[in-house]
Amino acid sequence: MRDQIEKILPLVSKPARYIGNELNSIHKPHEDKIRIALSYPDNYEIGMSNLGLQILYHILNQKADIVAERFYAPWPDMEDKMKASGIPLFSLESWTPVKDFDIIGFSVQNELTYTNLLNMIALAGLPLMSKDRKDGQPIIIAGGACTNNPEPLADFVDAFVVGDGEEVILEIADTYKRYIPGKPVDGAHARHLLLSALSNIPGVYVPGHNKFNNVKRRIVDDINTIDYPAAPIVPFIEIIHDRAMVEIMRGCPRRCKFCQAGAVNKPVRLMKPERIVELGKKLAANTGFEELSLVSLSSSDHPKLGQAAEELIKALSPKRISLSLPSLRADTLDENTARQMTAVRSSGFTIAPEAGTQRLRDHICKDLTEEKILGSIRSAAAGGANRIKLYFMIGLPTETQDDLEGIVDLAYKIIKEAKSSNPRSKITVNVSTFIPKKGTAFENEKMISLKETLQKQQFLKDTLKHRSIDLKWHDPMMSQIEGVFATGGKEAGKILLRAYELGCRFDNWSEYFNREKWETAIATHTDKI
Amino acid sequence: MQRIRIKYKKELKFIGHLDMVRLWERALRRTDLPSAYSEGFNPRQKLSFGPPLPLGFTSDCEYLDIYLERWTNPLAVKDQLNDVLPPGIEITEAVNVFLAKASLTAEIRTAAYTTKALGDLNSRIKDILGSKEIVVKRKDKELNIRPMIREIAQNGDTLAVAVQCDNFGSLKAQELIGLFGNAADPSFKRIALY
Repeated sequence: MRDQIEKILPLVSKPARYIGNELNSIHKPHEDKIRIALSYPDNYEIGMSNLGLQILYHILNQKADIVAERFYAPWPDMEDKMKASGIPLFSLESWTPVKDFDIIGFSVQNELTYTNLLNMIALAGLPLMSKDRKDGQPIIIAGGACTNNPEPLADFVDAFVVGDGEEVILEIADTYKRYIPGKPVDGAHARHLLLSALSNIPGVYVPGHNKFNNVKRRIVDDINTIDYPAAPIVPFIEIIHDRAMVEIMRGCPRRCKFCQAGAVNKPVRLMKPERIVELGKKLAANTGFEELSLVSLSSSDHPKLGQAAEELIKALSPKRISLSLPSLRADTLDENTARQMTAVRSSGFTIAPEAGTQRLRDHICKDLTEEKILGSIRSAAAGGANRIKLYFMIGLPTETQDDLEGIVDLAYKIIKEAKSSNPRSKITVNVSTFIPKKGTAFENEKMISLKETLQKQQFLKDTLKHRSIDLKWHDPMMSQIEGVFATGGKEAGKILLRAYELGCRFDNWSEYFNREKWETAIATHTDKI
Repeated sequence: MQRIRIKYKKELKFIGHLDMVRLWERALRRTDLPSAYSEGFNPRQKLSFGPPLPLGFTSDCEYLDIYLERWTNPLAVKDQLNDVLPPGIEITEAVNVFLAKASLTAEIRTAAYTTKALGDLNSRIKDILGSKEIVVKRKDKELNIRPMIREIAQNGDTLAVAVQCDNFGSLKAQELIGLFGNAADPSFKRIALY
């Protein structure tokens, strides 16, 4: 197989996606070990940006009796070549066929990766449906945001990890060791017994063995105790989040009613500032990344952020390493912090008003006033940030025409404010469509239809015209599909299977997203859209 | 300021030039070497590279000049960097050069490559060297690449080729491969730059 892979690599785009051997990747012999293949169902650049997988990769490989390797979705050109040469999906570290692993673990964060998940099971050479997989074939596990509503995937995935994976994953490996040392117990199906045993682990949902509603979410009480990867893999090619990351907080103190991550990840857990600084320094030394990001759902809400950031900036600036935050809360950002954050590299500034009027912001519990928004824009622009990104949602519960006009008004006020501090300021207005996600206060609200979405987007396109404002919107059909899987049950799994059979792949990618095929798949099973 | 010229081997044939730039910047940041940085909003290490190696090729002789703020023994530079480089990249030489010395791309004229010959190429070599014109298409223009070909020789199953590689023109990887078609392994190795 090695020769065959080497033969096709020169013929595909970005062959470095498939060669492994990056700095800090871990290579262990497979003999007498539990073999776990970790994956994210999208391409290398997206998958490698997922911090959770890097944490699990590290934790698993720390164990002497476990070897964890990675694989991602091959890009369509690679998929074609692999199929033509009969090469099954393989791991990056040892180019071992994925089907030869004991456990396959997918991090599934986004509904638009679901067809890739199915495709990858098929490319591995495994039966798509859980019920068709046999003893001796790997157990397929999924974790991440998909477990907030797992039923659409329940026919294809053997077990779901609900909540934080750091502890559960080792318990799963232990259980595997006890049940499958190669010998079926008393003629019973080893696989069946294993799945049944997995369903007894707190936080694990095994369709057909336990009820999702009875599964208690797993939580790591103290995130300071996590065996955090201080030497994560440094990719050869540029990935989406091409930087070192310290997860400084899990959960979010805000109570925005639409936000699923904030609603389900409870309680808020903080990393101690000493640990943030220690990890930040180690990461910088072990990776050489030019940027260190202090990540969480709302990093500027970390009460000791300023202290940690100040120390890290001091330690990292001799090597011109910049410090960044992924999600700045406008009202907590003072001018001083803004200036520090841009001390090394001029960076953009992001703020998410979500709604255009105070009334709607109050309704969704987005604790942000126009005064605060404009104040933080002033600070950011004065601090050197000239690219400002705004995030809004359309279709929020109770939204009226006034709220849409509010988005336009606010965008104009923001560009005026930014330009008065920095004439070169540009803003991007990102508009997405509200989806009533499970676990949130809005889970029983309705999602607007495709037609309504198009109308509202058209209004913004017609009204928000300014040479320094760039309007971007989420594809309305993609949002509808996300809605189908975020809210649907088992029947949504049938839509998924149909879409996969029709050839849907990489639905996150506009060049591959195929609206007609999705319409067909949905029409087969529902008249909802 | 000190300028150190590094010569290195590269076995990673699928890592392109821009990725190599980032790889060297990150490798330097993993050491304690006193890198010199550019001024401005986006300070970057001062590095100066030789001619990019085509994707799909390996090399025994890539060059890179690095600039340091304080004098450092070039041997220490070599050792420190070799300790933090990913497998597949190895420094074979590091020497001190004058700050005023011409840039690598200004100095280098020729690139020499070897690959595996898949059969007897002597008549093909004679044809190439005997012809006045070998015309290829570059975008919409036609170009005679014959003047860029300096030497070709076969020794056993090794094919060696020396071609122009400078600021006035360089033979592209596809053109080099195309000279021999299926008669040579398309995965060339750069063995010298001069």
